Amino acid sequence: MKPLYRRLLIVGIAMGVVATSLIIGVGQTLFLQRSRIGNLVSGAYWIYHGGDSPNTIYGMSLDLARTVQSWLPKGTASSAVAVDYGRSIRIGPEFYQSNVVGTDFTFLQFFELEVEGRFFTEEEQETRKRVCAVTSDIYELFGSDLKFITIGDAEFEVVGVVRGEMYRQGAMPLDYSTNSVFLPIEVYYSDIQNEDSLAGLVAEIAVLAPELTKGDLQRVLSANLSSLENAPSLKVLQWGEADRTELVRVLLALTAIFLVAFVVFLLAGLNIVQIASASVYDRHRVFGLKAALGAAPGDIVKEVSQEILGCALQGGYLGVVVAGIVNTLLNHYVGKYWAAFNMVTALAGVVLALVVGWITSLIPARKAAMIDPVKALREER
Amino acid sequence: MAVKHVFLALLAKQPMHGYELKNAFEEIAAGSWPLNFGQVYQTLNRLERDGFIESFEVVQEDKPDKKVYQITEDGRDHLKEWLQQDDHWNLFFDEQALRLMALPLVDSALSGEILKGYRNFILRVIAGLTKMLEEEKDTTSTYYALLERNILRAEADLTWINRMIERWERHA
Amino acid sequence: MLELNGISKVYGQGASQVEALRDVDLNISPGEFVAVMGTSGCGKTTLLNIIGCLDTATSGIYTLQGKDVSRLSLKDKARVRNKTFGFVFQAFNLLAEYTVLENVTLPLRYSGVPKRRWKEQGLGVLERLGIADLSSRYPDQLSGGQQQRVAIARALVNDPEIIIADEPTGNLDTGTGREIVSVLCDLVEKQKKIVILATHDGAVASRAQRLLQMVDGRIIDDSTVPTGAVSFSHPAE
Repeated sequence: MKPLYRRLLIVGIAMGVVATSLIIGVGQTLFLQRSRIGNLVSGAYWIYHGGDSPNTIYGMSLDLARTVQSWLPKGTASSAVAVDYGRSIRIGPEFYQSNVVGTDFTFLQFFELEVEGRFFTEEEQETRKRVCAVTSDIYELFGSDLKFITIGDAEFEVVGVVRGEMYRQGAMPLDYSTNSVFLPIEVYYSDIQNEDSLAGLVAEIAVLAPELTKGDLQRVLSANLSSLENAPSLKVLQWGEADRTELVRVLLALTAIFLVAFVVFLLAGLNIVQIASASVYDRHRVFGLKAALGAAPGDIVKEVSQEILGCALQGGYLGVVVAGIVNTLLNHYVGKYWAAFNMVTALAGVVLALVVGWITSLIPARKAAMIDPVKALREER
Repeated sequence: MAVKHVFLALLAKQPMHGYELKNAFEEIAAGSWPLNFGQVYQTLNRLERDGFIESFEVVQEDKPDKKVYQITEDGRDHLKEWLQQDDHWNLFFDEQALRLMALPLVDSALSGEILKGYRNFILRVIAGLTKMLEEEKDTTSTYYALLERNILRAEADLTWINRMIERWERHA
Repeated sequence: MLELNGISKVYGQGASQVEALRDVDLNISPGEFVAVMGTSGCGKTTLLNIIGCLDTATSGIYTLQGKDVSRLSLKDKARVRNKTFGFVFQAFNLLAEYTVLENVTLPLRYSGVPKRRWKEQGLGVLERLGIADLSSRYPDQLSGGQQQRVAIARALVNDPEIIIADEPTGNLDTGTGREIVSVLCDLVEKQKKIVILATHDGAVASRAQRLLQMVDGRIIDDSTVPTGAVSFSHPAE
C-alpha cells in the first residue's frame, strides 16, 4: 500500500476512534445527567437574598427572615437556615471540624430523614435550649460517648442522630448530609456567632408550599416587599432549578460536541472506505497479476484485510492517545460531569478500530479478489 | 552484370587487378556470392569499353605482367549517379509477385495450399537467415546489414502471407 | 496432457457479441513446443488464456491431465494455474516494489509451500537461468532481457508442466529475444515441458516444433514447423 494511503487510513481511523470516544463520553454524561434535569420538585422552594447568578447569596438578617416567613400563607412550612462551614467543635478531649447549621425545628420536614433520638422541638427552640442533632458520620466516630458537644464556650446536648440525603438540587451547593451539627437558629445567632438578629447570617429560607407555584410565591413576596423600605432583592428558586440552569448550559455544549463528533465519525467512516477502495483500484494490475499467478480470491481478501487491519491497529493506538488528551482537556473544563476515560475505554478504542478496520476492509478486499486477471493485465502501462 | 557497380566502387577506392577485385568482392559478400574469373573479366571489359575504367600493365620481375585497373573520372561520375537513389520501385520485385498474379486463376483448395506453402517457405528462410546472422560476429559489417535487411523483409512477407491466408480462409 | 474439445468463447451480448474462439479442438502432449500465429484479433491471446485457466470457455470441454477443468470455480482455477502453469508476458509484469527474489517467489505464496523454503527455491530457479546474482536488485535496475529472465524464473518456480508465453520477445531486441527463446527450447527438450507461445515473430515461430495458425477464432492450420535448408542465391545465377 502506498505510504500516502497508509497514512490517510491511519489518520482516518484515529479520527474515528476519537470521535467515538467523545460520542460515548458525551452520551454517557448526557444520559446520567439527564435524570437530574428532570428533578424539579414541585411545591418546594428556596427564598434567598441574592444576585443575578444563582450562586450569588448575600444573606439576610433573622429579622427579615421572620418577616418573610410571616407573609407565607397558612399551611406552608418553612425554615430559616444559617451555616458556618468548617467550624471547630470539641467532643470530649478532641477537636473536630464540622458544619454548624442553625435551623428551625421544622427543618426535618424538608428532607426524608431518619432520626435516632429526636431533632430539637419547637419548645426547645423557643426556650433557646442548648440542644443539637448530629449527622450519622459524627456519631459513628464517637459512638455512644457522644453526649455533649462544645462549640466555642457553649455546651450542647446531643439529642439525636440524623441520617439521609440532604443534598439539595437547589440554589446553592450546600450539602448538610455529612459532618453537620444542627441547632436552633436563635441559639446559633446568640451563642455561636454572638450576633444579634440583624446580622445577615441567614443563607436561605426553605419553603414547602404544595399549593403554590413559583409564580405565586414570587407575587406574594413582591406584594409584601413593596411596602418595605430599602426592599432587598429576594429570589425564589424551585428545588432543582439553579443546578439545572448550569447543568443545561453544560449539557448543551456537550450536545454540540456530540453532534460534531458524530459528523466526524461518519466522515471518518466514509474516508476509510474511500481510501481502502482507492488503494485497491490503484493497484488493480498488481492484484490481477497475483490472481494470474495463482492467488485464489481468499488469498487476496486475506492480503488486503491484513494490510488494512495493520493500519487500523496503528490508527487505534493513535486514536486512543489523542482521545486521552481530549478527554483530559474536557475533564479539566467540565470536570464533575464527565464520564471516566481509563484502561478499559482505551482498550475498547483499539478494539473498535480493529473492528471498524475489518468491516471496512470487506468491500475493497472483495473487489480486489474479483479482479479479472485477463482484463487487468490487458491494459497498457 | 549486376556486379559492375560494386567493382567500380571497389576501384574508386584503389586500383586493383582482376584477382584482387574478385577477392575483395567475395569478402564483402562473406562467401554468399562466389564469382568466377570469366564473369570478372567480362565485367571489367564491359566497364573499360564504357570508359568507366582504364587499365595498364605493371611490369613484375619474376612473374608475368599483370593488368591493373583503375577508375576514370567518367567512372566516378557514373558511380556517384548510381549510388543515388532514383524514384523507382519495382512492384514485381521477385518471383512471388508473379505467382501472386497467377493465384486467382487456380482453384481455392490449391491456392490455400500454395499460400501455406509460401508461409512455410518464409519460416525456413527466416530460420536460415537468423542462423547466418548469429554466426556473423561483426555486427558492423556489410554482410550483417545485408542479412538484417533480408530478415526484416522476410518477416514483413510473413505478416503479409498471414493476411493472405486470413483472407483466403474468410473467403472459403 | 491437455485437450480442448469444441471450445468456444463469446464476449458480450446480443448485437455486440464477439466470438473470440469458435469450436476449437486441440491436443497437446508433453515435450511439445507450440507456436501460435495469426493477425491481431484472431484469438491467440484468448486461446492462451483459456488453456492457462485465466479465462473460462463459454462452451466446450477442456481436459487437463485427465481432469475436466472447463468450468471450475475461481478458487480452483487459481490453484490449477498456480500448480500447472507458468506465465510469461510481453510486458514482463514484474512488481516494481519487490526485489527480484520476491518477484520470483510470488507464486510460492499461494502454493502452500512453507515460507522457509521460498528463498531456496527462488534462488534455485534463478541459478538455472544464470541470474542468481540479481536476486536482491529491483526490476527497474535490470535490462529488458534480464527482466524477462526473471519473469521466466517466476514462471518456473513452482515447476509447472506448461509454460504459456504471450509475445515474450515483443519488448526485446533480436539478440535477447533469441536467448529467451533458447531458454524456452531447453525447457521443452530437457524437461519435457509444454511451451505454448503466441508470436508475430517468424524467427521465434520457426524455432517451435508445431505451428498453429489462427483466423477469426479458429485454428485453420495445425502442422509441424517446416525445417530444411533454403538455398540462398544471388543475381548472377
